[in-house]
Amino acid sequence: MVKITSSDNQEFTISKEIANQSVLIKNMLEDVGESDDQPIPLPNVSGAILQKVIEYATMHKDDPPPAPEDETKLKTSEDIEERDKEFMQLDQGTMFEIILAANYLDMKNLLDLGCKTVANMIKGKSVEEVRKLFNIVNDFTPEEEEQIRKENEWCEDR
Amino acid sequence: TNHLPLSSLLNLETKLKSLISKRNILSSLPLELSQRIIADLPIHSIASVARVCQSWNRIAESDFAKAKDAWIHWSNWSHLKYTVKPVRKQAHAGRVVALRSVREAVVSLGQDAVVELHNPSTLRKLVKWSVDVDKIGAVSCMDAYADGSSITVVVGGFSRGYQLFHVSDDFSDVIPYPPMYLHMNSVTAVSIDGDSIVSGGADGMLVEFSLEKNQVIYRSEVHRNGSISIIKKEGIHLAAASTDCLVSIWRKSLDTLTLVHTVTLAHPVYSITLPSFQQLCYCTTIKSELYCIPINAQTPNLLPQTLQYRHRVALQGFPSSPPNSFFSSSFVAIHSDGIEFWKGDASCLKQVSTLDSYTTKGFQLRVSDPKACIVQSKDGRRASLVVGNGEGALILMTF
Repeated sequence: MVKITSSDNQEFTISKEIANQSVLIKNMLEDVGESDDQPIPLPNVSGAILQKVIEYATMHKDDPPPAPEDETKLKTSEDIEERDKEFMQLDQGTMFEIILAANYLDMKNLLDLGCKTVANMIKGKSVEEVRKLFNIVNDFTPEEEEQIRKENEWCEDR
Repeated sequence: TNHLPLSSLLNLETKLKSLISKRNILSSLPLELSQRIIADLPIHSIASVARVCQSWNRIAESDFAKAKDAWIHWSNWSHLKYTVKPVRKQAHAGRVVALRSVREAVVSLGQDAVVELHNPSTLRKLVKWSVDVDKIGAVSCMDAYADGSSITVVVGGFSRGYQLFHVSDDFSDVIPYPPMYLHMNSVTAVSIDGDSIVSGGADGMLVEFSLEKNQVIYRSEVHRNGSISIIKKEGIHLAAASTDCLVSIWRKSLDTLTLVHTVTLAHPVYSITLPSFQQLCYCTTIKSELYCIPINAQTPNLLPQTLQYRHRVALQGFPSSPPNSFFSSSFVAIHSDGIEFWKGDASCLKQVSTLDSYTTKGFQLRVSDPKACIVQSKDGRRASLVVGNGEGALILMTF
């Protein structure tokens, strides 16, 4: 078993196969050796978020290792498993923290899931709908907005 | 808040919580993560992201600049499959006989003897008119030329003649000129530029008519053993092909045409493309062979792609592509099973992407006789392909 501590000093004990899903923790374990009983500090992840990350890692502990980047494969944001879709039904703040945690812990699958989920939230929405969804104020002048619209007109969905 | 009832306060709290939970997620994340999210979007969604706010614009542009390049870069044209939504328009009754792209218009001629000019971005009709088939017979071929203020369209017919039409700059007027009868029988191919019209007939004659002198300035019997089927012009070069498998390469000057050389291929030619800035003429034959003929040498090179095709292949090179531009040495091959994108040189054309998925999505590219033209932006960085099919429909795909 492996002990990890969050930024707010919450301690979690997880199995090695769950811990190894994080490349960061895996490397640290290799560095400190098997015998060390000291918890691994993760100062960039809060306890609440770490709890969610462990939940994800537990859900995927039997998955095969992620395939290396395949540049020729088309990138699609539709190929998300149903259980992952349910896992990502979170408020935007938590989703944001999970993306940051996945990046810090070097968990490719979770990072991909976070990015694809945000992409899916944006996809198919009008500019105004995106602003509303993320509570963003339009800070363009009408002239700037019109110029950008014209520049990118050629690739708009007709 | 002292004056608000409890229910209103609770309502306010819910609204505030909802607002706080929403966050400007792209702007809050490190740039590399924001770009990772953007990279998962189709290109038209990236265009929307760029319009959300200043900070999203910076993120989108940083990746969008790459996406724009990827969009038109051959190595990434597989993206076309799911990001481009083609525009389809039923333009003609009967098959599309010819398609041409000129300044600010795509010109189509249908078997219904109707000429229509379309907006190259939307295929919206700009102007259309009918050709008088009593004067030139059923329509057989067409070419168009744009100068500073207007567009001239020439339409050939099966009754010896061809006719010129002058379209005003604002597309409001179409002036027909009297038909010209310069061949013994059908006019089967025409090419027009600012100086002259070169026509080919079923009589095998190649005739050059000077627009300035208003008279025939050259006749050639090089193709006398066949019927001329195609005339293609690009820059100073012109190529003609006839049913007897002969291809002639010409140099065009202000004075007249000069024959450079002739080549006889194994089968009659189905399509010709003369890529600008290359001293090469590519021909596909009715047996799906692909040849490359150097302009200055009489040795045709049979390219190895030939065996891949069961169907006739209409090949289109990108016009006006200077060397090192994205579209130089690039070709679109249209056949009854779909569309392919090629890039290469005189020895080999390498297939870089396909659009055959459209054949299964109801865009009716399964056509026995596809016609196509490419519309390229002035800066050479964007292009659209317009395909005309055997049912009179036009399909516009923007890259």
